[in-house]
Amino acid sequence: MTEELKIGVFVCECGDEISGSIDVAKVVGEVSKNPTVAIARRLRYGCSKDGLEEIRNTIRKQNLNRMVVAGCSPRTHEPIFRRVCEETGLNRFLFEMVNIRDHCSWVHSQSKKKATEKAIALTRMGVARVALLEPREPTHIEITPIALIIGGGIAGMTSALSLAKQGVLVKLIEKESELGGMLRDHGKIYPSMTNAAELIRAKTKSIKENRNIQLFTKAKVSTISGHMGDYHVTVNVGAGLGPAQKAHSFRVGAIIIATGANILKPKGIFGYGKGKNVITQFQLEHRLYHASQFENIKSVVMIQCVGARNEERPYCSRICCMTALKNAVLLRESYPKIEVSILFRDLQTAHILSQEDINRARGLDVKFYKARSPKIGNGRASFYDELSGKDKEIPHDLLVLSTPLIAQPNAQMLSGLLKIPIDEFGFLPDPQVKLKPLQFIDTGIYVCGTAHWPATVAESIYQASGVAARVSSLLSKSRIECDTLIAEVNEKLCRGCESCLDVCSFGAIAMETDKGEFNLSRVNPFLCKGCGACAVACPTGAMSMHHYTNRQFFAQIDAAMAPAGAYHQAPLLEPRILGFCCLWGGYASADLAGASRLQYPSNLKIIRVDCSARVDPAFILRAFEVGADGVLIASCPIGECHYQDGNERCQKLSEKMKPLLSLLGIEPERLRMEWIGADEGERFAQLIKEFSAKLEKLGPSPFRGISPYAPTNVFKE
Amino acid sequence: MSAVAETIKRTKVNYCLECGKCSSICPISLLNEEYTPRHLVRKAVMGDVEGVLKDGLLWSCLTCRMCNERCESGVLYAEFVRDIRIAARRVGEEGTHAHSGALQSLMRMMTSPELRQNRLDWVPRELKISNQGEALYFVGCLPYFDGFFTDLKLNTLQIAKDSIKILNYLGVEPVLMPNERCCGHDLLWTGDIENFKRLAQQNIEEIKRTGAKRLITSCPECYNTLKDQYPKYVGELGMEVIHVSEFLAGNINSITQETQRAQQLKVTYQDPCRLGRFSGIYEEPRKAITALRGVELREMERNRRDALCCGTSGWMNCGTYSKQIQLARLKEAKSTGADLLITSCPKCQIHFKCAMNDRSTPDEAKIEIQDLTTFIANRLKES
Repeated sequence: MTEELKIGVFVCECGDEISGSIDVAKVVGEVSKNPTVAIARRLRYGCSKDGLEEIRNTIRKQNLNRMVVAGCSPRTHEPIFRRVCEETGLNRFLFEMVNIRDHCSWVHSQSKKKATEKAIALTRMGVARVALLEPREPTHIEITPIALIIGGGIAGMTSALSLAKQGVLVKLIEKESELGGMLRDHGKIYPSMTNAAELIRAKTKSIKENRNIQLFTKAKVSTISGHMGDYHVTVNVGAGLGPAQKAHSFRVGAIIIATGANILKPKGIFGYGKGKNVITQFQLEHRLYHASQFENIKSVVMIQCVGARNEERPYCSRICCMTALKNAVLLRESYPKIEVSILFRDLQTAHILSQEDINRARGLDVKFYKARSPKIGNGRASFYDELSGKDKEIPHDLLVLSTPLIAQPNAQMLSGLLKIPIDEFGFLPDPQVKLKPLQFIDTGIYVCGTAHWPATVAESIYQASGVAARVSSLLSKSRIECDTLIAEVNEKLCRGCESCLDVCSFGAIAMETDKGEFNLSRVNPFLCKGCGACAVACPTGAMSMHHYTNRQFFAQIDAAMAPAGAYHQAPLLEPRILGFCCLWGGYASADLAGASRLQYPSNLKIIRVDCSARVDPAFILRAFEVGADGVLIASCPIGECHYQDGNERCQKLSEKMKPLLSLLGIEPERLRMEWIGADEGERFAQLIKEFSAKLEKLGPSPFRGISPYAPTNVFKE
Repeated sequence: MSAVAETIKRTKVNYCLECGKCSSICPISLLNEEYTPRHLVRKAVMGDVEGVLKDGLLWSCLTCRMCNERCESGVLYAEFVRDIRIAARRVGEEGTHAHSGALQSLMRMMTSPELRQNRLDWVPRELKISNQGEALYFVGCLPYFDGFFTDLKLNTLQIAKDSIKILNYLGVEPVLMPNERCCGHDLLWTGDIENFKRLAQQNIEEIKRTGAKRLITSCPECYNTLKDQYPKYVGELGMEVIHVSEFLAGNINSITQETQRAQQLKVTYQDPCRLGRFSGIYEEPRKAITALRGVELREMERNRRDALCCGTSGWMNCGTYSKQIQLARLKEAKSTGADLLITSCPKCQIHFKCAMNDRSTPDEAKIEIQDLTTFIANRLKES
């Protein structure tokens, strides 16, 4: 820092919400003692029009180059104060918000003395951190307002037309020569009983006539690079035609995967493939609507779950039972002389119309058997009927096997091309169904229809419409701001160990070749989400996080354990806890505990991280070094991490610390990691009470005396 | 700024003739054109105190003393860097600590008088140690290295186990201190003189309390620090300090070899900076190695005084240059045709293993590495 620091600190009273439990004047007085603080003021309502005006004027008048607001939660008010900074010409990242309401006045209202001391400490932490913050300029991505849709089945067609209607340009790629996908083999679409061929014809016409849609048939995507808002795509048209192939290259802003699925052809199971009288449900569909071949058929036996819900494919394909019921009803209605029996394990009829079909089927004398281990031989199906408890045999002229939807063979290629996850069955699951359904970590890529997971036609349409709505929203912007608070590599310190590459869940790190003896790491600023996992994994410090550097954390940790006036007179009796709380989990639940006015011991000081992945083991050691009696890491529960798996990474590292702490004579119970969701305010308060009590029993940490800030520093010279 | 002037005088920096020999041999200078010892010396001699204290490259020096060895004018450059770093820290300058400074945290934590470690659990039952005795074995930070570097699968504690095994074999039951502190080497050489002194003070007290007459250690950094640095900065230990290789060399005739294990083996040896150039111990480890039957010692081209540092010192400013040095030295070791690289320093072992652990490290830089004590301990005849 070559410039002289001029920090302005504004302590908000928030009406009585803060000033009721905290002596705000005292906080202002204490923080003014810091030589880097140019001015400290108290405000009645910092976020009010007057409050904001006063802040603006003070920044300008005092020529402040850093700003701290001690008040409510940054989760709600950080953007407001950052805007005020920008309005005065101060970079918005030179601002720090300290939470002395939700984390202090609201939860320690029983002792004004303790609440005030904690507020002083928290403010001091904020000042220590703001002194080390650096300005940052946001980068932007220019959005190409075109969507790429891979797959022209019902999902692809629906999203294409939906987007086109909203004025979005669409490139629709279909690998066959006709649109329609699996619909082409349908007769009537259940439950509306729409004629599938007519539907395809109508949609194809609409698509071809729509000026916003450019259709490529017999086309396959060959390369995709880039990121959300700006993908470079190459498509080969006339795929498989050798020299007749033509490559088209273009840019798009978003990609929708609608590549659909296939029906399993169960070769070898129940004699499939050996004769005309063993067919799949899909093939039955075809016969029912296109080619009636039921002359010599007296008995049809349908077997459910063929090749599904077994060891190889443990999933339920969700559509086979409703299809079997539909076809059974149709068979009985069209050919009353044919007996129809359904051998099932369980009947999956989640759709209400499908449930009604069971009754219709029964009314039409379809036979239902809960069959265990069906076997086929000599034109007879034999099985153990669970409902009657007897073995049974039924003759059949036609055996219909209900087989599951299976993933397209090109799913693996697509997964690699787009760097999206693929599950063990070849489907493309959305990694965070709670927070980003049908989306992937690169937020420009979407999936809908059976490529995602077995779905009905109706479900595929719903998903496609939903995805189209989100894509249209994305592409309606001309540019969006990237995450500014991201990681960056210092090349001189990079050893090419690739530890960062191994931990990045966002594909934001690549190794640069041509850098010499070994490749050096590089962060893609468009993909980095700022979780901090790479900075922690980096052994040399080559990888650093903007706005969340190691030095900034050390400054906060040191300041947290520094003396705070009267509070420190009785330090040895009260356990001191340092808590690393992730914004979305622990920090949010602490806010909720505050809003609920739940009281807990005041000896906890919270340090914010955006993701617990940022918590370096060195921070834990530093906390104990400067005299913390206990260290808490409160992060989102498993499966709810906003950065994929940051919480799990943090857990692994902090578990590794425990044997090391034991060596030093620190009881492992002093380090605690908890999963706390944003809605668990009560649990948070309870946790602090319990942890505090436990630490009291363990006694003060043996390292209290050595911290340079401890009044009992044994080495005071 | 008289501290700087005093340092310049004490380390004879003003005798510099500007010949540039130091820069030509410096392993960092070879890779980083921006860094030359000669430039830093020039700045100091010209009185550019701020330029010296704020030079970020002050922290890149490995303090390996290759420059000291070459300097015709007797400039003690490594010591100059060591002491300037103290002054630099006082004005808020600091290099980049590897591993986010976690290891330095551990060292500083050991300055607490209230420290009560649990650091003897690793001692296997079959090894004999005692609370009081003539010989004290100084373990060093091996338990902490193994605890911290779990992904490198280090097992530096094997060095301690094998050292004690050898001592037992030669009739010595060493004392192990239950609350032994870090010797402070890394803090001393990276400018944290206050905490170094605190560690030294407390270690001296504890060591004296054992009543031992002799201190043996397997770590060259502990060896040099306890033997040469403690008396300079804090006080005398009042006992003989020896490195385990010296002990081995002196007792090599009493070591009966396990003949079955005598196999044809080609080995090479890495001279650690603190054992070699710092302490003049070159022949003892070699004597121990070559005393074994079937072992052929193939020297690297740069050996003894010319040995290349393992590339990282005091966990400071580790990065691309450190890695390049490690790869160069490992390739040198492998190209001797040896199957095994013997070291007698846990730090050399850690830094080499770290480099070999990277995916991109080529085969010609990969060689099996073993501490001298393990090498000998594996070949002792069961008595």
